[in-house]
Amino acid sequence: MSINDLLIISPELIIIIFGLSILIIDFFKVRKSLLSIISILGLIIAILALVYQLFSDITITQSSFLNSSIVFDELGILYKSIIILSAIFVLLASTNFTKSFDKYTSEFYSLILLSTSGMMFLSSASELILLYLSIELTTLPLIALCAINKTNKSAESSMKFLILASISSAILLYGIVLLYGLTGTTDIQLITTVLTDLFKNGDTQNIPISILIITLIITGFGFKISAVPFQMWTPDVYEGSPISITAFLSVASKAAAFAALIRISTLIFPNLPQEISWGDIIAIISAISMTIGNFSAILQNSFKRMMAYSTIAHAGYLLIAIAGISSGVISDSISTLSFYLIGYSLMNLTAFLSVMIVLNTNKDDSIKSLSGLGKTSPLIAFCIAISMIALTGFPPTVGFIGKLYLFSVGFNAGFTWLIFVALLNSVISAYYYLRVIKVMYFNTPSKTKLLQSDVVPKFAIVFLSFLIILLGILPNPIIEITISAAESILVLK
Amino acid sequence: MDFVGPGILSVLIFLPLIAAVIILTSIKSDNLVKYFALIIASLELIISLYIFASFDRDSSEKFQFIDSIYNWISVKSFNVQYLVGIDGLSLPLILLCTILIFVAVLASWSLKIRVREYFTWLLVLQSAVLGVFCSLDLIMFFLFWELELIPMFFLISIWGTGRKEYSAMKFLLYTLFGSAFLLIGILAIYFSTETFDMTLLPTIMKSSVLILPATLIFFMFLIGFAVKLPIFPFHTWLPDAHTDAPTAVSVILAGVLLKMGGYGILRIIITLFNEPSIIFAYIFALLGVVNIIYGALITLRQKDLKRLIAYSSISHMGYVLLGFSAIASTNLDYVLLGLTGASMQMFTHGTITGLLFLSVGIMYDKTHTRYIPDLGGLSKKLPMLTIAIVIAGLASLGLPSTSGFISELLIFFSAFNVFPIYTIIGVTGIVLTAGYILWMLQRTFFGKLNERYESLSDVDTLQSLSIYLLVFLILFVGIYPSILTSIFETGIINILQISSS
Repeated sequence: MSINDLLIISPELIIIIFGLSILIIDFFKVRKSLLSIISILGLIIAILALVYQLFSDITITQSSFLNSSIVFDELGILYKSIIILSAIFVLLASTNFTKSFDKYTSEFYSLILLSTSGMMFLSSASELILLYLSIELTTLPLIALCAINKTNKSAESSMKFLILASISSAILLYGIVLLYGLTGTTDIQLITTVLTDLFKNGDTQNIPISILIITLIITGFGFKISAVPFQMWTPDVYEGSPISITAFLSVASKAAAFAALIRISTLIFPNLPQEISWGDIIAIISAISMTIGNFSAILQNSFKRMMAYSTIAHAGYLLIAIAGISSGVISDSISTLSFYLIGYSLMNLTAFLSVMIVLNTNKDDSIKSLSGLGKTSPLIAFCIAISMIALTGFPPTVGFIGKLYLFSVGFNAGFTWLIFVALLNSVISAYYYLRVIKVMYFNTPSKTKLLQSDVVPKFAIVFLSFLIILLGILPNPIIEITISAAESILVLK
Repeated sequence: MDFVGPGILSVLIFLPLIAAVIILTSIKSDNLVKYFALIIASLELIISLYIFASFDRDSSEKFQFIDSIYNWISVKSFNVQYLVGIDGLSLPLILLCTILIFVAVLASWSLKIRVREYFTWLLVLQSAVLGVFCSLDLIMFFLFWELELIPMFFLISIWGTGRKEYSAMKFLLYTLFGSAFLLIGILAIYFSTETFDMTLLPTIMKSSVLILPATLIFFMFLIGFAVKLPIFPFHTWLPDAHTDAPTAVSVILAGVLLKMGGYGILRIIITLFNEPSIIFAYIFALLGVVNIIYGALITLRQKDLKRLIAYSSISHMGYVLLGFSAIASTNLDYVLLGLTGASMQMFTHGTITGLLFLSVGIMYDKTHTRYIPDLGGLSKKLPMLTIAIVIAGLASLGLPSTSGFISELLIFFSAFNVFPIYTIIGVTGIVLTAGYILWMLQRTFFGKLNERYESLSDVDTLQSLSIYLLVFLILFVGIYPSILTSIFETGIINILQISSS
């Protein structure tokens, strides 16, 4: 183990150290706001470490113990940045929220940081056991966080999450085990070469097991990214969890899962026999996810449930890019997926966090309770409106550019029918996203008492909305970053 | 040409958008907002008149006033540039847009609720529509096409009447449905030719193999634009949206937004898909006639004045389609005439229907009803308004010396050469138009005055200003049509030379 190895995992280490030390600091009866400052500080230092990594010339050497388990590339750095930044925004906007509970403040921050570190490991894992472990490290703190309110609903959602997360992990693990059985290694790089050798001569004997491997891995990840038909847990968990956790869950954990899915679908799936058209499986899952997600969202009265189904629909959109990888448009697919994910994170964070700072969602999170927000709290209503317009995919927002780029790549990859389904879905989604706007601006103010909020959360939300518009007008710099990130993974291939 | 600096089109497009942001962020007083919006609308009008005056009609360039940023989004597989420019086709439509927005701002002067937001959205709308007419990059075109929906959604559902929220949502969902087809078509073109650049596409399209059958892409675009124009059976959003929108917005909706559909058909379908257009010209003719007759018959039965005008718009857009069908003629002169006539019809319908909606809106403010049986004899109390609406009505039925006559003449003249039977059926539409217009005038403005309206006063100065402007346009274009036809012609020649040379 060298200093080099430490540098490579330094962002994760920093976050773990901060996460654990918050628990210790809490013994000294410090003020709650200090805890939040410390945890945000930890995340910012981790970001700085990432920036340092980007500009330094550290490389993974053959002798290092990390050799096979962690990759160090721009894709990893990009996704880690998305994850850390969304954690920062969630924490910035949660200052009011954490005031509302007397106990467990330090646990809240500590668990979020630990989960963040798990997601970061997940987005750079290049070894299947580490991948599995980081999924657990991501999920277990989140399960505890879901129940942090200690209400019945909260506990129920946490229990559901626990059971379904365990089942999905088990399924994924089974897929990993079979892959190990087939190739004799858990190192993704080695698996790639072993598989290429194995199926070089048109070996048909191992096709059934390959199908099983693909099915199990897709199922496992299907749960994590809440794609249909593995989405059942999403609405319940989103509804039951405290809203800041819902925001974190819908953005950061999704980014991490997609980072891992990109690696697997770029490096492992294409080397399995050509007869298995896994791209079509993904495309079908994608089409069903968006359709069911959007149609179900129309029927919801609860804001959180609506957003949960919207998340399912967006998982469907994002899977278009994974399907694109299957037909060989790899670099563009990864780039568009990353860009859309960035946009999606901005939009979802804005939507959730804005609602969080005006409404006490534990009591009432119905869409109706937002009535007349345009009059009573114009700034926040404006931010929610921007996020809804962006989620629908209207210009000039990042949602428009993201969808355009995504659909364009999907079209290029030959999934014309899928793009058509996606476009019609965008039309359907307009109905329920704009309903939120309608309620806010056209209805008379409801009697729901609004929360008073500090300057910091408001500032965070306004900044996010500003980014939504900015990336809609000047998308090029971010698109270039995602392209170089996409190319970094292809070097390995 | 030297004195027009580069960028004047960008100024034209983005000035209202910037003004909207200024209104939203820094102007607090309602009155100030109105004056500011009026200044911006006047500036836009002046700029567009200036462009109109300095437009070089004999230029050999296909597009003028070009303004571009090459790599707005530069990805290998997705290269979008910011590219605006105009030709003879888009120029009059731009002028129409700035005129009608100017009228709309005047027509909204008495607005009292949520003034700031209203003018913000109105100006955003202007930017979006001008953007559609100026864009020469398919994605930019699509961007502005979509951008126009948000302001319309708000304008109808906040300041409208009746079932406004339903109508706004219906309008939005219908157009989005059309855009879905549009985007597929755009992407299909892009992945066949690897460019979104509409100035290069006509030449590139000829030498490249399309990844989808040309017929399929043709129909994709046709559906996309059919929703907007609107073409039967995609028209059902129109009566609702027009009826429930506030006056100024109805003026813009009927006057400018419908033209985006016709413009799209000319600029994309007829330019890029010339052969399918010729093969399927009978569809233009057939749908055109269906629009004309079906629209007119339904109009006859309307009792709500705004709904009546809305359905008459459907009928009039049928003439535009009938004009497009002349593309199938083997004689290029007739093609030219037909397409010019169709473009003229778009312009004249904009001014005529704009005036009709405006007058009805003014009348509604006074009588508080648009229900025809409740009205009657209004000419005694509202002489000015009656004159305006009579002129608009007569122009609408194509009376000689009004602008409506010229465009319908051109359309029938050229379409008759290709589809005589359809044209003959279409011409009967004029009779129906005369029927519903005159009947409407008779029931509303002539006859016995309802006692309720004894105390009505005629239009005020501000309102008469916009009425004069539109009446002037209708008569002036009717008497001196070549001021527009000559410009439209250069645009159509461009399109045809590009596509069939």
